[in-house]
Amino acid sequence: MKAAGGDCLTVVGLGIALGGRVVLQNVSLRLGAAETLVILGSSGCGKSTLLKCVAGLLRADCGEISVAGVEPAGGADVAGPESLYLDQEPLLFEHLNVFDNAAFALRMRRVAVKELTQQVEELLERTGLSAEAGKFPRQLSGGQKQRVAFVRALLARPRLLLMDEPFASLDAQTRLRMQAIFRSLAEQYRMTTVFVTHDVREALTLGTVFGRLVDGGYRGYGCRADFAADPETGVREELEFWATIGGK
Amino acid sequence: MSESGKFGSGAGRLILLFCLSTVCVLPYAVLLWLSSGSGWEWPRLVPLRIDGVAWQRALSGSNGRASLEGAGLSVAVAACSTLCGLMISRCWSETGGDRRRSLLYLPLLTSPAIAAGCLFDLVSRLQLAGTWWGVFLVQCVYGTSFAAVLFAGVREPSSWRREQLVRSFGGGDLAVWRHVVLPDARGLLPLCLFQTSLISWLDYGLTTVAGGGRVQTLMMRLFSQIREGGVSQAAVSSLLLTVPPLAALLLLRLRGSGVAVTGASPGVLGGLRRVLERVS
Repeated sequence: MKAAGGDCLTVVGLGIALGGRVVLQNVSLRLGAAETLVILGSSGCGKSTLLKCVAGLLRADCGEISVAGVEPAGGADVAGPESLYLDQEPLLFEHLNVFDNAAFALRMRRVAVKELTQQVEELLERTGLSAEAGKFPRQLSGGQKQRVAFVRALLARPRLLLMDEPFASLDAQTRLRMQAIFRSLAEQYRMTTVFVTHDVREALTLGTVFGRLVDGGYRGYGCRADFAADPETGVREELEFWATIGGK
Repeated sequence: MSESGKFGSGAGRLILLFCLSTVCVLPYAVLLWLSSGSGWEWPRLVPLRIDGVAWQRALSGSNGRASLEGAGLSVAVAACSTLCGLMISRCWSETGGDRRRSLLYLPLLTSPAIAAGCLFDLVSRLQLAGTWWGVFLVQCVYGTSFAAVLFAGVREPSSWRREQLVRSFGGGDLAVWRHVVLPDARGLLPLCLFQTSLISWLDYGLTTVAGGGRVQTLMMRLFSQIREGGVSQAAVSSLLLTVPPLAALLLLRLRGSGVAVTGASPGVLGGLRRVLERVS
């Protein structure tokens, strides 16, 4: 099945059971180019499973997935180059330094050295990693590792970037910084992203399109206001909390 | 407990160190002494002449050829076993549980001679009995089993995901091996190459059965020299047999590898390593 005109991702009737438990059922969604779909959901609701199915790392029991018109590989095969799954763990290559880790995808694509160096240095500069370019992963903090993984994913230039709570393990300050960097780069490079999180504030900060996973089912929202208005998303409670704090 | 209480007095420690050093060095000293003389008749305690004839014969005659043949076999078995062991352990980590992983130990539970006996029929059917390739095959089976066991614990839960990542970035099998499989196993590669080469270099049982006496490694020469009563020649062969393990130990030491050396004679090699550590 091909994605509908202008859509970068189309999922229709997706269902999967793992270990005898239905994790996703009849999930359908569409995502246009250069948009960031944030999917909110509590732990264990199937967010990661959905991303892995889209990336081709898990084979869905039923339904169809199409990334920019290209069917991703299924089963034990790997995701096609059209999509890239960014894990909660940075998964850096320990034998490569920061520069080489960041440049990995470009090296695999045999990009010319001059162009490669320029692109990598630019992004390392923007993410505040220039001074760490020669360091190895074991010499980096958790936040720095995550930034390197993010730069590496960006430089791969996937049509669809699948981000599985990539900032969940970071401290609050680093998390805010990474969110700002992500938003800025997503706009600049017109990235199409599916970002899953259980953090309402992160969802509102990063998303342009919103959805929620509950009991294996998917619910999409027409706009930010609809998402905020749904009492189940927790946005109201968040706003009330900050209003209370402000009132004091 | 005080330091002296723990380890005894200074003089006691010196005596202990002297005894240990003697135990470690004595076999080599005796072998050197035995190998350097000729005309050594029972019950004389010293040889008639110290002339190094045994060394001249060894380096120019059949011992030289046997050394080369054995060394070639050892290098080939080490390379092949390590590669196959890596491949098997990688597949096993994806499909085998801990219980099934214990199957990898089965070949190692039999002695080399029994393993060779089991494989002899296969070697014969392949018309490789009594050939270099036949010995290579059975030694590889034994070495591969060792290597697979060694590498079985190397794979991390994230290894498979990193492999997927390499492929997502457009890398093929070569890139997966270069950036995931080999780096994961890097710490154990020198040890595995060393140990599997020792399995081949110091093997007698497998070579005797599969080689049928026609493949003459240095170990085979040593046994025939002992049977023939050629004490000096046997001493030379014994010393030559220790050269590659010693060289490998030095190499491992020089490259700062922290691997523990065990193997065909773990006590001697372990002791040697500690001596080398003290010296360096």
